[in-house]
Amino acid sequence: MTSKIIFLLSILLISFPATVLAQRFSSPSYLINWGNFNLTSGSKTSPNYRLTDTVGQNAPGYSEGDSLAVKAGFQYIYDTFDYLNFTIDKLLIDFGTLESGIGVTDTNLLTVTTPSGRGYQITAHEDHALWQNPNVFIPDTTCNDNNCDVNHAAIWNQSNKYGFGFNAQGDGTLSYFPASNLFRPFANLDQSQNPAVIASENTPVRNHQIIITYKVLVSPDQSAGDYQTYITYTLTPNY
Amino acid sequence: MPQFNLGLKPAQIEITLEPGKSYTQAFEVTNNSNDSVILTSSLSAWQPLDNLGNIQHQESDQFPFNFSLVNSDLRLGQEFILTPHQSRQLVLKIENPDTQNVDHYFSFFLSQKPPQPQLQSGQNLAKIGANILISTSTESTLAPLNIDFINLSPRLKDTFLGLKITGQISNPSSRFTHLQGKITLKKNNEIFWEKDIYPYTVLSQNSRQIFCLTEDKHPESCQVSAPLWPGKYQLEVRQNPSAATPDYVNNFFVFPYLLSFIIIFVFTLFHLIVKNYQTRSSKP
Repeated sequence: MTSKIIFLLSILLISFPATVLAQRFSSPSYLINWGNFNLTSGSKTSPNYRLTDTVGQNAPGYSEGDSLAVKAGFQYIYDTFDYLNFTIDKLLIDFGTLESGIGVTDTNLLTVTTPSGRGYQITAHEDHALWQNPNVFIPDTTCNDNNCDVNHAAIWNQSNKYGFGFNAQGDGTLSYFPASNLFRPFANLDQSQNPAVIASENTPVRNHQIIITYKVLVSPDQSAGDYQTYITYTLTPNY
Repeated sequence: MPQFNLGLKPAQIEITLEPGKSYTQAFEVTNNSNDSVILTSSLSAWQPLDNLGNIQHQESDQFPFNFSLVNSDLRLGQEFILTPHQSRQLVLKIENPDTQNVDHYFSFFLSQKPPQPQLQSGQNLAKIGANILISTSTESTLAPLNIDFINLSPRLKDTFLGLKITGQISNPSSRFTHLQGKITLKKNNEIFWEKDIYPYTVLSQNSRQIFCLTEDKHPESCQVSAPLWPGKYQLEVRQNPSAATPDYVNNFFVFPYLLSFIIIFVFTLFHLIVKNYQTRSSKP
């Protein structure tokens, strides 16, 4: 008889399942409504991988108020990855007043740190030529013998070869700029050129430095005025 | 003078995303400079450029996945400000509607927006990206990796010159995986030198150059330092370290050629000098 009652009760419980979407806790002083529980979380390992997970967390992410911070879900407690870090020492390049036939230079220092196990590459491009407007511009350099381009550097030291270009020296630049007197123009997005690699290394680095030397040389016919462009450096880790 | 100093982690995520599934990943970006920085987030597809892990971004902005930020106050592509030394978490959600059995690779970019509204003569901007490797393969077992080639240099194996081991392994399968295994140098059937292969990611239908794993878990060129005592050596490469037979074997002989040449040269010189002296002294 008892077993029959238990059986009937089981059928009733199975037939009317309760849908639970949240948890509610209460006491005489407090009422707490929770949106969810994590279904599972933690660290799983195998000889080659370590996986950390949080499953079931609603509204994951970091939230903060005046007096509290909530780190909901995800792997906040396993901060084991190193940063990919990129520094540019100054953001403004000012050539001052230019005189025709006299090259003017300015420099930038780029610093790169990569996470464990990863090399990096840096590409560079300009939004457009150094210009006042699209019709009045300083051309991108083609070097002494018209033999440099966005991917190949060449000697540029003649005073009648006008233009705007750059050289990179330091860590990871040797394949792209074998000497400090070799220049090339920036890849020009306005002319649909793809950003070009200017430095890369295949192993992890810490505070590796690259010196960029910008050079501009204008002709006597160049119109007076302010010439402008944006230069963008893009750092990506090797996969 | 304003500067840019930005950190991003993790630098790479590798996921398998079957059709109809989604994945969420938190990236942390930190402004390490003393200046506020205006940033936007974006995605860009890329393809491998070589066998060293370099990449080339592609023009297309049509992706087979849906990317979005699930931060309550920020959308993908929306500008946000990081004050000096502030960190912020960006939670990226990736949904796979129906892509199957093909890998796709992306960069999650944070791009600096111009801090100066008035453009000066030259103004630098910076972009920093993390790699996202997505496999949509449902294959439970991968095709084995192929050893394309192993090279030993120098060609003349000398006792006092050491050895450099280079090579390439390719992945014929439809999803990315990692290199694994050991490189072993044996002399008289005993292990003389052994290193693990660095577990670099090798992309689908692509190849990767072999590097060795250092004790502090970094990749480095595989080099055996001198001296290598004269005798017969055997180089073995095993992708599965517990496999009975190696995937690659090369037998070679090491001899002190350089020292021998020097000894022969000195001996010959000495012999000629003595012979010359004897010839002179024997003349009446």
